[in-house]
Amino acid sequence: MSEKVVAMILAGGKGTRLQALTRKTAKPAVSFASKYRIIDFPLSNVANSGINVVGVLIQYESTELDTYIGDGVIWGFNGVKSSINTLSPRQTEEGSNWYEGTADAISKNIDFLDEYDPEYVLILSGDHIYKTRYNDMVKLHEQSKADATISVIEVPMEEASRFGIMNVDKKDRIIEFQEKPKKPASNLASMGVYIFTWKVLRQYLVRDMKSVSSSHDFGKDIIPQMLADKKKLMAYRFSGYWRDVGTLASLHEANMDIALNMGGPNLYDHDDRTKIYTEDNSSVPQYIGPNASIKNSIANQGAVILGSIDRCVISSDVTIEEGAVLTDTVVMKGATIKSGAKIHKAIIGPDVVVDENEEINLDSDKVVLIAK
Amino acid sequence: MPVVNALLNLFNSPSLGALTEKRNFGSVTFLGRYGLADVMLSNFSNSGINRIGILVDRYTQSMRNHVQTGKTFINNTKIGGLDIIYDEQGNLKPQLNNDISDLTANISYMEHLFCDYLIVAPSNMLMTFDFRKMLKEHIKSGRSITMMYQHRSDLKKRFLDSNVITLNEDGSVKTIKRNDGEANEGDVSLEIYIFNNQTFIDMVSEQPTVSLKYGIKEMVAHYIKKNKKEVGSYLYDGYLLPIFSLEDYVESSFTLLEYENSRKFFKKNWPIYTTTHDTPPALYGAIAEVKNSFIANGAVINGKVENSIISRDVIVKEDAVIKNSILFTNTVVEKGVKLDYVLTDKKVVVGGNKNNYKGTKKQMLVIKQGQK
Repeated sequence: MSEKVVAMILAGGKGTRLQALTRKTAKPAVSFASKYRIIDFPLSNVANSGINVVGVLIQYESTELDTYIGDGVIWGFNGVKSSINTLSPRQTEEGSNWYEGTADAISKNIDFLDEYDPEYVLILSGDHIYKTRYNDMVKLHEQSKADATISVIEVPMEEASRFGIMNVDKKDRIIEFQEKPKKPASNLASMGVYIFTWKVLRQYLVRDMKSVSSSHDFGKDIIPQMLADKKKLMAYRFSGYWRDVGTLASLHEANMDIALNMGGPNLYDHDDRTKIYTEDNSSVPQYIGPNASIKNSIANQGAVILGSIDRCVISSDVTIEEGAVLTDTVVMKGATIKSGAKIHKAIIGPDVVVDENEEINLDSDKVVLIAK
Repeated sequence: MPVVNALLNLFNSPSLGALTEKRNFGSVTFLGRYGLADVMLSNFSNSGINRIGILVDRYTQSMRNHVQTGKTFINNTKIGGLDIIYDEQGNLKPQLNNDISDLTANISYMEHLFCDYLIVAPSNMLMTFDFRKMLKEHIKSGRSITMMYQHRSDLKKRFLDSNVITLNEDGSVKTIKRNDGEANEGDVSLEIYIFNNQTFIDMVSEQPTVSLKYGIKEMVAHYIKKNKKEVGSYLYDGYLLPIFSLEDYVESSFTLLEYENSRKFFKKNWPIYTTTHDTPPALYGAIAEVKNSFIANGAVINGKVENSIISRDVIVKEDAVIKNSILFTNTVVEKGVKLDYVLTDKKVVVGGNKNNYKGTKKQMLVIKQGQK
């Protein structure tokens, strides 16, 4: 069976910078924007692009993610021609095989990709927040007969040194790649979204596996090697909202972008072509109490809000008791904020109980995490 | 372990005026996110019943659309299932179209039930109830039918088409007759039964020899008169919201806005399931003011909402004021519009030529589906 495009989603990382949020949960499975998990965004994007076959590479705390993905029914991958496959490291003749880099994770699943024999492989990260369809990018890749196409986004020049920067010619062919350059020559940052012509990538992966000096990473090893070999790499200019939510601050900020419905990925545009799908729960209806106040916020079903909420993200089965005052705060599933508690600029992890009259982070502008 | 199946009986469902003009009673929106049928279907599901039939008299499509494949309510979709039982020809002879004629027309469904006990319940008795309690009593009694009843003191106003019963000392039903509305007090049948399956099948096949006009309710009454002490009773003294009219529907909805009542209705570990729609969390804008209300996902609130029930994807624009109202899915309330005791059906746009809409507590102003 041959598929034109197979998507591979890298979802195995621990996400150390999210601290206690990822102590027992893989980063892509972390709660986002009241009712979603981070990985819902790339998975919905793939589904909305009409791509039928998806491999999800899992490693760190893989059980929860594996259970969540299940047969893919949430994103519609349970149809007759589609399939979603969680690919965890497996024991083989050579012994056990932990994934040791982004490229290594794909290399160790060459047999999976060979089975579908795709023309192109779309490589995505499981922890990016954006709404898109990859169709135009596939089209550019196909029409330009590229070996690889890398999605890039313009970032402010002064921030460019934090990213992997692509330098391109007039036709957007990539001529140079700089990883976190001190003096960036352009402001086109790689989003970690790649399309490869499978036949070409396969050769590079086989070669990379044999290299002892390689760190087996797309950005550090595969892309530079392809450029050195004068392969045709194209830049696809992405426009719109895109965030890597790898830190507490960026996770908090991306949540706020949605709560304020300004600049973030618009979930309220009623555009069925780019809907984000997620699991549903059988929570009770969301209830706003007689003395409550709620503005500049989003809240999911099952939330009971009796206190005062401004610029907050409230997940399902959260209770905010009377007299509690929350500003700039993300409250994850099942947490309880007792009466009189005051919280500012925080992420409250799942199932946390904040005691009566407790004060958290009131005088700070730095995001604080309260987690179990 | 005995095999128990259930039938949700939508025959004899009351009219809710404009709300049931073009849809089945069971699929009328409740509390902004459920269909009325979800409550009883979830009771079946939570009681461990894995095969459910829905007896539908009209607007099959709206029920099918609401329950979809039924996987929302079924534990194992291979050994269980949800079937819609509809007699197309039945509508040609409305006077003889009843729940039993529906079953007779679909006799192959009956023949393949292979269960020991059969629960039959309507969708207008809103309650959260574990049928295993009643089943235990039924089996212990050794009788072939058990009828659920409640002691009521509103029989002059409600249950006007229901049967009132008296009991023998051993708990079996002594007399049964239609509520004539003369007395407020009495024990009334909730039209919820447990049958030994063979008794039920015999009753269905016997019906043509008794009267083609008889449905389950009449056949049970007939059975009681014929077989002394063979029908047992089960007292349900829990929280019940019976719906016989639009007035009851509105009153029940608002009753549950009171926290004390909603706690009696929504029980822990007793989820009410419903079909999902992938809607984003409710969004509250900068000038939103919401008090004592249920808000469903997908709603975008920028105005004032008080003592109201807001369904999926409703938009309340700036300076709109909504009080004591129920807004169905996809209602749009334009800027500055004021609603008091208004019920809008789906896809209504309120505003434009008029800014004030007012009903009364006794008589809500109902705006029909799709009106602009």
